[in-house]
Amino acid sequence: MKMTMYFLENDPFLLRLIHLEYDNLPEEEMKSKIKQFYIEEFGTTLEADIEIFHSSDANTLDGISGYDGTAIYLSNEENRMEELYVISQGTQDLVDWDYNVKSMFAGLDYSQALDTNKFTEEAIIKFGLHSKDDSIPVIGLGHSLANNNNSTAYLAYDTFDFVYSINGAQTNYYQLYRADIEFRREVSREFSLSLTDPDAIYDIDPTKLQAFAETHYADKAENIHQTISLDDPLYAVSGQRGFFTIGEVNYLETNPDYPGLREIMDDIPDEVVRDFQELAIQYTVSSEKGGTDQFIYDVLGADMEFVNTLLEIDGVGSGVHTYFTHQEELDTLIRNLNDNVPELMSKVTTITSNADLIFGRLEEAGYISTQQKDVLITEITAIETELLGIQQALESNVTIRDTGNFFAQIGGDIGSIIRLLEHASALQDSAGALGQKEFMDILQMIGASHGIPEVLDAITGGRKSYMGTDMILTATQGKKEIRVNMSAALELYQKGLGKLAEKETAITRLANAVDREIQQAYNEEKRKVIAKINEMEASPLMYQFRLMLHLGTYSVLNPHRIESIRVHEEIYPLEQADLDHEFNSFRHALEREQKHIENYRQAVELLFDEDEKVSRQFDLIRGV
Amino acid sequence: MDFPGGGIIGERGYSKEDKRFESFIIGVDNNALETSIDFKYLPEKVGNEEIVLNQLSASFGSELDFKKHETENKTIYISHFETKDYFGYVAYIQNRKDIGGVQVSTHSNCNGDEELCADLEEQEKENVIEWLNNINFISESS
Repeated sequence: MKMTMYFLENDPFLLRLIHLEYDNLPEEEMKSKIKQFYIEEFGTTLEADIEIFHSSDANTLDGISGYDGTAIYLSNEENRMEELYVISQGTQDLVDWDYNVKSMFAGLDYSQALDTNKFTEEAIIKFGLHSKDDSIPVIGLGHSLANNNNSTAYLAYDTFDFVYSINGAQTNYYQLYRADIEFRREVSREFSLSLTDPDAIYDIDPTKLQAFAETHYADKAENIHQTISLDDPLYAVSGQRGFFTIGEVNYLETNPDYPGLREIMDDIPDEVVRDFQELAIQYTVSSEKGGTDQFIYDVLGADMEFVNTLLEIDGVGSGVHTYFTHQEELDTLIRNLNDNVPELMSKVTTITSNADLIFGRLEEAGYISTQQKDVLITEITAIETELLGIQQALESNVTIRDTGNFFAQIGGDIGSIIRLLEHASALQDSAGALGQKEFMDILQMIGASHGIPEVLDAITGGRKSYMGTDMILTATQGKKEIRVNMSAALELYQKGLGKLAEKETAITRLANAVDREIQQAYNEEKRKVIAKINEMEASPLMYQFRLMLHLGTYSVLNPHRIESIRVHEEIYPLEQADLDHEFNSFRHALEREQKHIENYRQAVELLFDEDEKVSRQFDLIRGV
Repeated sequence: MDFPGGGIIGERGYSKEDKRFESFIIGVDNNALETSIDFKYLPEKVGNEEIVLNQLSASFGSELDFKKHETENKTIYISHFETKDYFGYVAYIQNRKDIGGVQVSTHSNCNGDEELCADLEEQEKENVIEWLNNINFISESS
């Protein structure tokens, strides 16, 4: 039975919420955004209390697996409705891609799925719920890697009641064989696996194993809903190495200019796809971090700045000198190359051996032109040649070095060191050619189909579209189309009014303070004057000295003295002491600003003059 | 950790990912008794035991009754099970001194006669408990 989400049953809302998770917003800002998205998508306010718990605050997690997530607990006491949403963050940083490439894709490591379960259990406790209480739905939301985490956690540990994903990395039956004891037992029974053979599962026909996994998890599959772009590069490899798609899937064409990569990948053998995929991901991640040199450093451990510095020095004699002055760096370079070249060489060879198939299919599908295909094949073949050159130069070098005979090795390997550096430099040129803008643009275009915005655009139509997590409405004025960022407009209106309210409060408080202060000061001065009068009237002799200043010292001959003092006081009331004029000026400025904001709102409303929903959104956002 | 006698570790199923995860399956052939041991190390924190045990029960498919044995350095939770086809153990060991947890699940079946299998099963029980007791965490600082 398909579960109904009480609070958030709306695809664009859920997609925007999942996308929002990547922003890592502070709690209050996240709440505010959720309320705003709700108004924008549902046209009404979210009638629920929101509580938020982030995985960085979880005591049970150590952070090593790279799992990130946010739990959102929604409750409405009046309607007795409660729901817990856990957004697991998808592939975001290098730790995640490292997890994808080395572990999740290999179908062995599922530590992020374990952390998904632990985090959800801790969130349940944190919000005062009971994990055995089935009446409160626990819903897993995620994009990319997060679907693998959420679905694996759900299938193996019953973490959720419902899983909702977008462009997700799929679950993997080899991974589940390790994560789910019951599945492992049932696979062993069904296929009569030898318990003494630890790798027996790899002998099962993958088609049969997938069919069994689908049957085994059929009941739970009903509670997994996925939206997948046919152009998503992750979808292209979702049929490889144990990955299988489970649940109700809504497939979308999000980039109509291209047919998608799935068919191409299905035609290419598993191990070729794996090597191609690993290199492509590594190249993309490293290039974003620091260009081609970073890629070479990440895959080979070679610092190209150092290599090029050495190559600028001419001749073997200089080389010997350089060797003496940079012995440690050279040793590190050679060791790194010796350790890393074989693995890279193996992957590159897989690609060059299948270059016509891979790049030919990409060309047929229109992703690359014939000319681009030729450049790619030429440069990758050149990389293979240079790697071979490095490998040959290393063979003599590392062996000599291991003898520990320093002076012997100088004579023996300077020539090969220079050759090695030259090969590395040539490799840098070819890797650089692959990094030219046109290829990076293609990678970026393919990568965009993995993102949430392209899917958001595909599932909405008419005048509504999205930019990041912002909603855009398009108005038509004559033949012109005007695109209004409604999310930004609402936020500006809400924050603007909020600021004005703050200003108004500040002005009122200042006016009160001014009144109070002046009156208090006046009263204080008045009190002092009257006190002095009283004192003078009570003790007139105390002021005899003042009389003496004028009439001389008191004596028999000079018997003038003060007998009493009577003060006829007249204290005027406080006048001309208010700052009303100044405060009125403040208030007028405030009114002008208010009018500006309301004019801005009216201008947006006028663009959509027939639509009450827009006006209502402005009304509702005031209360958020 | 004492390696189970006659055990073989699979190459394809072995995974070690820095400090975050290590897992492998050991196949053990003991007379008429065949056993598969799934072993995993995770950087589990002290205090996570209840969540981990619940997760193991969920993964097993029904509530497991764990018996707790405490030593100075570790806590062992062990549960025995029998199904129509297999018998075995699901266990969890928590390092009490530092981060670290080991999850172990074993599946065995016996192809001998009833008497031999009863003996082997009893022997297996002792072996597993002894083997779990011999798993020790090595502190990085030591």
